[in-house]
Formats: sequence, C-alpha cells, structure tokens
Amino acid sequence: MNRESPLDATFALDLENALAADEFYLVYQPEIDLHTNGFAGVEVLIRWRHATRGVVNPDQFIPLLEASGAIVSVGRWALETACYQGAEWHAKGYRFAVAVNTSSQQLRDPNFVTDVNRVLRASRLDPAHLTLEFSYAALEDSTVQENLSRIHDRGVRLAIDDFAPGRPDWSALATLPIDIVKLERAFVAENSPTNGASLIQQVVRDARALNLRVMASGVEDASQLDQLRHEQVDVGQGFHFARPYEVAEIDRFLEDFALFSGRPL
Amino acid sequence: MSDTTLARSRPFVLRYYEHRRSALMTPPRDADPAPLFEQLALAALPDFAHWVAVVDPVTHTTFSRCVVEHEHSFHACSQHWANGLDIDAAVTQVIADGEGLAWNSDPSSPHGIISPLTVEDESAGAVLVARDTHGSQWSEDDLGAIHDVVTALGVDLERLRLRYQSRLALRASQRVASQLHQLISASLAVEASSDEASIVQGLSRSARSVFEADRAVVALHTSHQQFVGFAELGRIPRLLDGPTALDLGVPAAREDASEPWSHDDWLCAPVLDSQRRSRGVVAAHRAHHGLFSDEDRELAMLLGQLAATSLDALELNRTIQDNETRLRILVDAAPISIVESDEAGAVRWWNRAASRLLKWPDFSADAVGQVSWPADVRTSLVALWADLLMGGLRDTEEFLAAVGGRDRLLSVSAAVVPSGGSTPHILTLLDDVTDQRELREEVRHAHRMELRGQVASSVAHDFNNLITLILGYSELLSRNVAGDEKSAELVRDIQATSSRASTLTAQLQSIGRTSEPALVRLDVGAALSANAEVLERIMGSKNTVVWCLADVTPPVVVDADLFEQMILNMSINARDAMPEGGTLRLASATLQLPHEEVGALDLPAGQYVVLTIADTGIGMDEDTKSRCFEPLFTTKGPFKGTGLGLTSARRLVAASGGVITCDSQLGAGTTFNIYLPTPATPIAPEFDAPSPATTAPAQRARVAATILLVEDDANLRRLAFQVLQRNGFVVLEAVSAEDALEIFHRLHEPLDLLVSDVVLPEMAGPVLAATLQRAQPGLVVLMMSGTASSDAISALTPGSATFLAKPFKPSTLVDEAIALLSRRTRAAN
Repeated sequence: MNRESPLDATFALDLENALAADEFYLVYQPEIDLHTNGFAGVEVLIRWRHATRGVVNPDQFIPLLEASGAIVSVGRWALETACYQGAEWHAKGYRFAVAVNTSSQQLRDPNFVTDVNRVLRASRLDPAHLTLEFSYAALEDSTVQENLSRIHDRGVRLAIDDFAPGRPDWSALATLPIDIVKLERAFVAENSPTNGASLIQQVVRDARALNLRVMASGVEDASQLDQLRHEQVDVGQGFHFARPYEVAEIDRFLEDFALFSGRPL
Repeated sequence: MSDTTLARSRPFVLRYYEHRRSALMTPPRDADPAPLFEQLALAALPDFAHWVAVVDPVTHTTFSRCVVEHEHSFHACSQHWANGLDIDAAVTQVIADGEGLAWNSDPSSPHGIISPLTVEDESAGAVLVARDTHGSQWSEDDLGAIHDVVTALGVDLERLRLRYQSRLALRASQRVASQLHQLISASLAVEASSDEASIVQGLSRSARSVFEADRAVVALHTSHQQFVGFAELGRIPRLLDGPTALDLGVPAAREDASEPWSHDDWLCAPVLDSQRRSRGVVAAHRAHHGLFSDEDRELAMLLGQLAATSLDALELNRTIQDNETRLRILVDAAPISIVESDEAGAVRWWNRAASRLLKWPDFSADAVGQVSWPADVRTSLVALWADLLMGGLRDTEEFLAAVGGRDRLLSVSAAVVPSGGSTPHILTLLDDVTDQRELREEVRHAHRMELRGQVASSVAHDFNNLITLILGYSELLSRNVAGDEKSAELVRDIQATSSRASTLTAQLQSIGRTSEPALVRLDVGAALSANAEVLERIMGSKNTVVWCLADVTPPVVVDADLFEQMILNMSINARDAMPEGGTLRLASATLQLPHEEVGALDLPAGQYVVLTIADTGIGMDEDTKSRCFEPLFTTKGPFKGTGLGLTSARRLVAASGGVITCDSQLGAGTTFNIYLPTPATPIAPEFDAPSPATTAPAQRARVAATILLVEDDANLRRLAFQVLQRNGFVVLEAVSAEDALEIFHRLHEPLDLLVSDVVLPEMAGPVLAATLQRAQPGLVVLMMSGTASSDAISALTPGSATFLAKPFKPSTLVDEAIALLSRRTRAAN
C-alpha cells in the first residue's frame, strides 16, 4: 500500500476520475456466526487501485469523497456492484448476507430509496440478503429515518456501524427499524474480562430486549473470540477468522469453508 | 537392547505419533507431503538422528534436515555423510529392491540406514536416517523404531493422498451442484426477462459464473438489431455496443457453427433457433484457469439453447401481445355492442359501441361501478341469460326497449365465457337494428311503388288502345259533322283532350323501368319542350313555371326515357317543396368548362349543357342536402316518396359522364344543376321533337290492295277495319296469329299488306310477320304497338316493314299503309 502523503496536488483530481476510470474495486470480509461457527455473511469494503499510487487506503480517500459529495455516486456504484455479486452467490446456492457501508449523505439523497429498489430489482438479489451499515449519527436526520423505514419495509436489513456502548439512547433505537448493532473495533480490542466484559454484556442484554443481533468487528485472536462467545455476542468478524478477500479469492474461501465446515452457507 | 538406545528410540516414535496426531487435527491445504516429512524430522533430530532425508523419485521430492548448521541440503549432507558410499546409487537400489540398507558399520565413521518407503503397497521412495560417530551404534530398537516410523509415514502419505483426492472429488461435486444452481437461476432469470437486453445481460452474468470465467459474453441478433451482454468478475453486467465489443476482442457469432469452438482464450457456443439458424453466441473467457473441459463445452451448448429458447419465448410473447392488442382494437372498433357481465348482470367490461348505445362512459376500471343496464334491457336480458346458463341455446333475439329515452329495437345474442371454477361470465352482444328495420320498411315501400308503376304501365297500355279508339272515332265523326262548325269545334276539343291523355299515358308507362340506360343523342331543350304540358300539369295552378331555355344547345348523350322521368321526378320534388306555391325555373345553357374550374365539379374540361331546375320552396338543411342523393332517402314519409328519384337522377347523369349538383338554403329554395357533356362531333339528334304529320290527306294516292288486319282487341280491330275499308282497301280480319295464318293459306291471290298488333294472345305479331314473309317474300308489314318499340320489326326483311306506335290517328294508319304499298310497288318495278 502506498504510504505517500495523500495531500499531494493531483490526489483529489485522480480520485475524482477514479469512478469513471473503473479504479475502485470491492473486497469482501467474512463474518462468522459465533453460536454455530457458520458463515454469517460478508462485509463489503471499497478499495482504490491507482495506476501509480497502487492500492490506496480507504481512510485516505473516503473523507475526501465525503467532502466533495462524490461519496453518493461512489456509494451507489458500490451498492450496485455488491448486489450483483450477492445475487451471483445466491445463484451458486450460497445463502448469506452482504453488508454494504452507506454514508449519511447517501442516506439523505432523495433518490436513495429509488436507487436501492432499482438495484435490487435489476440484480435480483433477495432484499433479505442485503444489509446496509451506517453510523449512529446518521439516524438523527428525519429524512434518513424515513428513507431507512421504506427500505426496511422492502426486507433490507439495517445495521448500526461502530456502535459504542454507553452512548446510545436505547429507547430511541426501539422506534427505528434496526436489526443489528456492530460494536466499535476499538471497544472489542480493549475488551477484557475485568473492565469491558460487563459493558459488552450490557449491550448484548439491551440488544436482546429489542430483538437486535450484536456483531463484533476486529476479532484478532482466539482469546478475544472466547471472551466474545462468553458474552453471547452473535457474530464476529476480523483477521482471526479471515481477512478481506477480492472476489476471485473469496470464492475459493467459500468453497473451502463449505467443504470443511460441512455446513451449507 | 540397551537402555540408552531404548531411551532414544521410544521417544522418537512417540514424538512422531504426537506430531502426527496434531497434524491430523488441521486439514491439509493440498497434497504437499512436506509437512509430514517435517514432522518426521522434528521427531528424529533432537536426539535420535543427525540427518533425516526422504527421497521420492516419482514426485522428484527430496527432503533433507540436518542438525549441522548450513548443511540442510541433501547434496551437502550426502557429501558429508557418505563416507565413501555413493548415496544416490544406494537410494536408487533401495527403491528398486524394496529392501533396506545400512552402511559403514565402522564406529569411527558416520553411519546410516536407508529404508524403502511404501505407499499403497507401491514403492514411493526411501527414508534416510544417519548418525554421526558420536552417536551410538544402531540398536535393534532403533531399527525397529525406524521401521515403525517409516511405515507410519507411508500410511500418512497414503492418507494424505486419499484426503486430497476426496477433497478434489468433493470440490468437483460442489462445483457441479453450484453450476446446476446457477443454470436454474439463469433459466428463471431469462424467463422473467421482458426484452433482449435483459436476456443477454442476465445470461452473460450466468455464463461467467458457471464457467468461473473472468469474462463472459452473450450476443443475440434479431432481424434488425444486435444485443451484446458482457459480464466481468466483480463488475456489474452491461450492454456493449458494436465498437466496444470489437475493442474488447469479444468473439463474434459464426453463421455455420453448430458445435462449440475455441477462440484465443474464449470458449464459444452457438445460439441456434429451431431451424438450426445462428441467432448469436455464448462465450466465456479464462485467462488463468487454462483449457475448458468437455463438460464446459456441454454447458456452453446448454446456455446457447437457453438463450435461443428465451429469444423464442420473447418473440412468441410479443406475437401473443400483438394478437391481443389487435383483438382488443377489433372488439373496441366493432359496430356491435359487447358487454361482459356476471350472471346477475353486474357489468364488468364493455366496448365502445356499448358506450354509445347504452350511453355509458368509455370503459375503465373506475367506470365499472358506475354503469348498469337500462331497466328495460335488463328485464329482457335476464331471461336470456338464465336460459343460457341452464345450457339452453338461444338464437339471436330481438326486443324493443327504451334506451336513452328512445324506443329502440335491439337484436341480442349471448355466450358464456368459461372462467375456470369461479362463476361464469356472460358476453352479451347487442345491435341496435331500429334503423335497419326502418330501412327495410322503406325498401318494401319502394318495391310496392315499383309494383304500382308496373300496374300503371300495363293499365296505360290498355288505356292507349282506348284513346286510339277515341281519336279514331272522333276523326270519323269530324267527317260526319263537316259543315257544322259548332260540332266540329267540339270534335276538335275531343281530339285535343285525347292527345293530352295520350301524353300522360306515355309518362305513366315510363314509371318503373329499371333497365340499362339506352343512350341516345338528345336535344335537351326539345325534350323539355315536349314535356312542357305534363310539367305544367304536375306543378298545378298554385305554382308558376318559368322557362329559360337556350335557343340552341348541342345534343347530349343520355337515356331519353330516363331523362324525361328525371325531369318529371325533380319537378314533383319541387312542387312538394312548395306547398304554399312558388316558382319552378327550368333553364338550359351551353357552358364551356375551363380547366381551372375542373376541380370543383370533378369533371374534365370541355363543353357541357347545363340544365337548371330551381324552386323557391322550403329548401333543405345541411344533413338533408348531404343525404338527398342517397338511395331510399326521402323526407316525404312512407307512401309519398320512393326515395329513388334523385338517386336514379344521379345514376343517369353519371352514366352520361356528367354530374348533378345541389345548392339549397333552408327557406330559400333548392337549385339542381345538371352538367351533361356534349360529344365532340356534332351529329343530327336521333331523338327529335315529335314531327308533324308529313303526308297530308289531300295528297294521298289511292292504292288498290288486299290487307290482312290482325288485332285481338275487337274495338281497335273494328276501327282499323272501318278506316282502311273507307280508304278503298280490301280488308281481311283476324283475331289472332293462328287465325291470320288460316286466312292467309285460304287466299287465292297474293296478300298486299299485313297490318298486325305486336302483342297477340299466342303467336306474337313479329313471328307471324316473319312466317308470312317466308311464305310470300316481298310482303310488306305494318306493326302496331302501344308498349313495344320499333325493335319489333328488326327481324323482318329490311325495308319491308314499318312500326306504328299506339295511339295513332286513323289518317296516320292510312298514310303508313299507302307508303308501304307504294314502296313495294317501286321495289317490284
């Protein structure tokens, strides 16, 4: 990965052309059901492969896309590509969800609901196999709430990303059509039986009351996994299970997973 | 067995088993045996041996681990440990013989053991274990331990192979299942496709996925368009235009291909329709996975068939939709009302004719609840529907019902529409036949009028005979009263009245003739003048007739009888249009129609005679005016007008190559202009005003002759007999042709003249005349008739016969007889 400063003069210009130049691509990181060890789904992550810069870290270009507003069209592209890929897995016989990150700008876009419906129809992806992930902050906007409700009615599942325990107002969450909360990476890393366990357990308990599933991202090793299992977290994701794969690689991963787990996906 | 050796050999075996157990827990990634060799080294090297190597000549694997730093390679180790032995040769020998070999038992030198490695009862290489001189001698325990471990390694290698093979098999079956899944998904997807574009995109996506290809293409061509769907790994499938497809090196369809073919790294299969014609191509590209298998080729053909089938289905679907549209338009445009309802009469659907007839809005889903049958109609229909649903067959029925405030006569039929289980629907067809029925009445009326015309015509025939008698006797009378001027005046009055009566009967006779127009040259002015008396009579005393006839007009070509009838009809129309009295203007003029006025009248440029018939009557509104030439259209009501007058007028004028125009204003009167073309070469008119008698009685020469008079009407016969006898002829009377023949055969001298009526009871006059002319060539004949034309004498010897139309004056009869006789005399001379 190119570690050069992203702030050089042509970076913004290159980024602007990236979508038209077909330089973005998607990678897919597996998510594992911690109760059954089964395959729960994949999270879709965007990458930018530039001819001279190489693969650029999303942290370097996502904020710029958000600042320029281009995140809406790039997000639409990512959603569409992911839906087609998800439908392809579905056609192969796999049954798992594809989680796509959605920016708050995209959620506010007046065409967002139409876009999602059109893409679902065109790709023939079962809406129940699409999960939209977004930040808790995005929910403060009433337009966003309205849009999400309509999409949720269609059968699409909704997940709050980077969920930090202690912050949310659970009673507010109860009125929103949310299905999953995804614990913040840092919070999982700092999790230990002495201090964090009670906090995560609290989140799990509150989530259960609202019939939400809890997911932990950034699971790095076996001890974290054991701890999360103990805390009854539903789904895990992280390098302990699998790194993000490009589409050609993940097909192989899925095949092996199905083969050695003896479980259909 | 020493303790020390046991102390080393036992842990070696145990360690090997321990490593093996933990290795079994994790699945092997592939068939690489290196991890197994590694665990052998791990178990041996701590204290059992200083060099461990495995040689597998089949897979060319050579594994080597040594405790001495930097000397792991087999080559280096074998140099170090050989001690004069050719280790490579020794290994080859062990592998070939399948028997172990130990070398260099000299305690000061390194020594080793080479054991054969057997996998699945076949030699799979050799395991080499060596110790340096500091180690102890190989004991029996050591040898046993090596044997056990090498045997276990063989078993492990076998197990590894089996696991790898079973994994390959599993993966293959998983791929087949996945391909099957995708094929089914693909066929479902194309089934739902509504156009070619979505078929090629959907199928290209499926093809890419089925073949695990990096790219796939499905191209289809219809009669007028080409569709190329393109799918790429990790990308959204899209449509390609021609140039882009070329740029991407996408393979093109082959006209002659019936089997899959390869093209660079592409596998291609034809899309063939039911006639095995090429409709496109299915192609998949693999850059890294190498060749396509036979199964892939089969799958490609299958996808090609899927594409062809979906294209067929799409076209069939379009045909069905087109047919449905056509049917819907047909039903909607049909002049008959069609209504679909349930058995209770609740209306579900109707066509436009129904909207018009029943005063409903046009059909729409919203309008369904708003319409209901008019009560009268419904009452009549309920019985019909009930019968229909009982299985009874009903023919078309007619009933009267109030629709939209008017009584209408409706013709109805109905049919049950099967609706698969639920209550049946009924299609009711309604036709408003009120107008038809009225039309039929009018036609019937016209027929009656025609019949009356025929009756009038035959009455006129008999009447003519009577007038002939009156004229005859009044002429005889005029001679008897010669000198009595007062009586002579009365007799002249009788004669004048009889003449008028004769003109009237001629008009009567023309009614009801429908034969082809007999076109003759006619002087329009003369024809009008000839009918002036009748016209004045028709118009009656309340109306004035104004004549504006040009002195001379060129002759026109027209059916003279029909022309007169037309003038009479139009004059009668004018009279009827002027119930309070008015003026009828009859005018004729010659008109040179220039080119620029041709369009308005739709006539060729040239010379025309224009005849104008104008009244000052009530006029016509636009609707009446536009329909006045329609057959059977009349404003006079039943029993007054036939509605045929203007129709036949137009037909007559058209037959002459002219037009008739109508100009009318309500309350101001109506003007008809009749444009008749004049023939290019002027010739003498064939029809002329009745000519006055050409031969004066004073000039008459007396001729002695014998005349045979044949007339079935006794009165006429008696008159003619008296007239001819008074003029000095010998007259023989016969009442029929048969009678005449008998008289003729009894005659001893030649007959001079035959005077005969055309219409006789059995044998007709002309036949009699022809018979007699055969018996006596040169016999002259005078034919009389009130109805027949001069054609009656066409079959006789030319120049030997004259036709005399009834009624005629006695003097005319005598004149014609003398003329014929003198002609005969001249011919004889």
